[in-house]
Amino acid sequence: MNSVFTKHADVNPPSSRRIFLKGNVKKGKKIGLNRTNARTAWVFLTPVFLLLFTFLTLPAINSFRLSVSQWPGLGPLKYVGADNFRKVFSEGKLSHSVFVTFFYSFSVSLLVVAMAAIMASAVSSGIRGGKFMKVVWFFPGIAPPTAVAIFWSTSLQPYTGIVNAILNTIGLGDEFAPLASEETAIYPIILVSVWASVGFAFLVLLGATESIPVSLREAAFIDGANVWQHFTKITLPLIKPVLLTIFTLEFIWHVNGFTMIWAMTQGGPGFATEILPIYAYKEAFVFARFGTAAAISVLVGIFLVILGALSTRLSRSGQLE
Amino acid sequence: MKSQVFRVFANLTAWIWTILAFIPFVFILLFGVKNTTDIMIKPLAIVFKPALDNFSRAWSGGVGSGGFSAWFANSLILVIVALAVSICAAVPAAYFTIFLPKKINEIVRIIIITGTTVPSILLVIPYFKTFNSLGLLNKPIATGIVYGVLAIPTTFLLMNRFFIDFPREVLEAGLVDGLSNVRIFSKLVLPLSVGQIISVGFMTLIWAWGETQIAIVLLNKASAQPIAVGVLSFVGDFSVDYGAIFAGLSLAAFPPLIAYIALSKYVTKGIALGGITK
Repeated sequence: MNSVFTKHADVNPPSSRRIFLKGNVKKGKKIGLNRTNARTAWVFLTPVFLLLFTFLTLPAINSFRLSVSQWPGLGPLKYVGADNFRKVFSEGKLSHSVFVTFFYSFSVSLLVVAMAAIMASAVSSGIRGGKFMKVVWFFPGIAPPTAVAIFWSTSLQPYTGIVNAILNTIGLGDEFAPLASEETAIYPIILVSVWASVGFAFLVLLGATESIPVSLREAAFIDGANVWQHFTKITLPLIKPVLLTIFTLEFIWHVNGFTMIWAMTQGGPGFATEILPIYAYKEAFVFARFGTAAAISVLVGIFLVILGALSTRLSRSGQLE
Repeated sequence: MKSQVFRVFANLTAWIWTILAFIPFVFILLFGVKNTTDIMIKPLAIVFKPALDNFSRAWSGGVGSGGFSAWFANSLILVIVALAVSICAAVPAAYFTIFLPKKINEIVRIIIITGTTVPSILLVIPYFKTFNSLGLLNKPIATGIVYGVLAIPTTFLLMNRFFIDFPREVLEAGLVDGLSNVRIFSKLVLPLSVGQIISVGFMTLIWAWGETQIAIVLLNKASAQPIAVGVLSFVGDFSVDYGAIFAGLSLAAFPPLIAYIALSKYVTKGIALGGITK
């Protein structure tokens, strides 16, 4: 689970309600609302911090311990220093897996952001049926990823799949089998991942687009801006920070995106679609090499935490402007 | 000119995408009530003899595998436990934190945001190790608690943002009426926060229903699997029984879709206003 606040909540023009509220904070203090409740706050915050420490911090530390140990799945850990990392780097699979991971995550994030921006501009410029679209576009993101992955991989089967049935009726034959070839397997996975992710990015972008003050839009139109100029000169610059945040988050989520690929190809054919989380999963739960698996996870984890920190920095600096 | 082309392009994209987002679910449901031969030979036919026994085969499952009756129940347990844990732990904390000095509230938020950056890949193996040694593998309630805790940061952040903007005069009115702080929260604030809690809770529901990376490790026995993992083993066991497979996909996909349609008012608003959640 992942959450970072977008900038747009704070881009909102300070409404009169909000200004009014700020005034009331001091008033609350005067009659003692704040002081007694502050104690209650710690009563409720303590278990929250304890839970997060137990389920996030401790396991993360354990991953580091495992990455410098040998552990076959049973018994005590045996300290082996940097052996696991050395093994991972010398095995030669790592660079391929890193490349596939980046290629997959980068393509998906780029396509998601581009599609979501186009669709948000269509809806905010008042396309007919926009309300219906807003609901339907989220469908692919709501169904379990494994279920939609199975639907698509079944549909791409040669001869029997629905995609091939459609291709056949328009005369293109029914032998299209992109998932079966090492060269092409990643592309349908990228498209299905984009298909499942766009709805969410769209909703966030729409929120950002609609928080652009109406007065600003009107001023531009009075100055004679057309729809295209409006999009490139006003909408795009104003939602750019949100676009950047969504891109980074989608990237992080897909670097970590085990499910879609596992359900469509299990990393195959061969190692063609084996992104890092699948590499780590197989090391641990297929080959029982938990140490090397932990080493891979730690490498990915460090990279993602740095990226995540940068992205929250990014969205926070956006807020302060 | 450029402007017109762009508008036509954007609208065309929007319509094509609408079809692409909608049609697969029509097919999933349609194939779920079609027999396997019909699916393979004439998948596009709309008139066919319905085969409702697909669902009963999927529901009872194969020999030695869980079947959708068990997986459905396990997923329900996961969702309910996850919602109970995340809401009970995060909502009161998110409310009372707003009374801390502003700077401290900010620091609390930053610490919790950091919690959201820990990727599942870093958690799965240690979870497996600990669950294994405590004998908690294949216990949906235990995995549900993990889900609940992982949902706490998002729940906390979205609810805290909501409570920061909550009208203070309501709270002061309660104080004037002589209500205690806890009663102000339970009698005045909670009823007015139901919409926000639903929209945050819905995100947890969707995530817990579809989560696979952790469940595939902590719930690896067929009878203990949730529906998102169950469909994978079902495809393995029923590889040629397309009818039953699609009936199973319907059982996995439609409960969250129906919940979404029923609650879409809260959900779309919640995401647009709240931020990014996954």
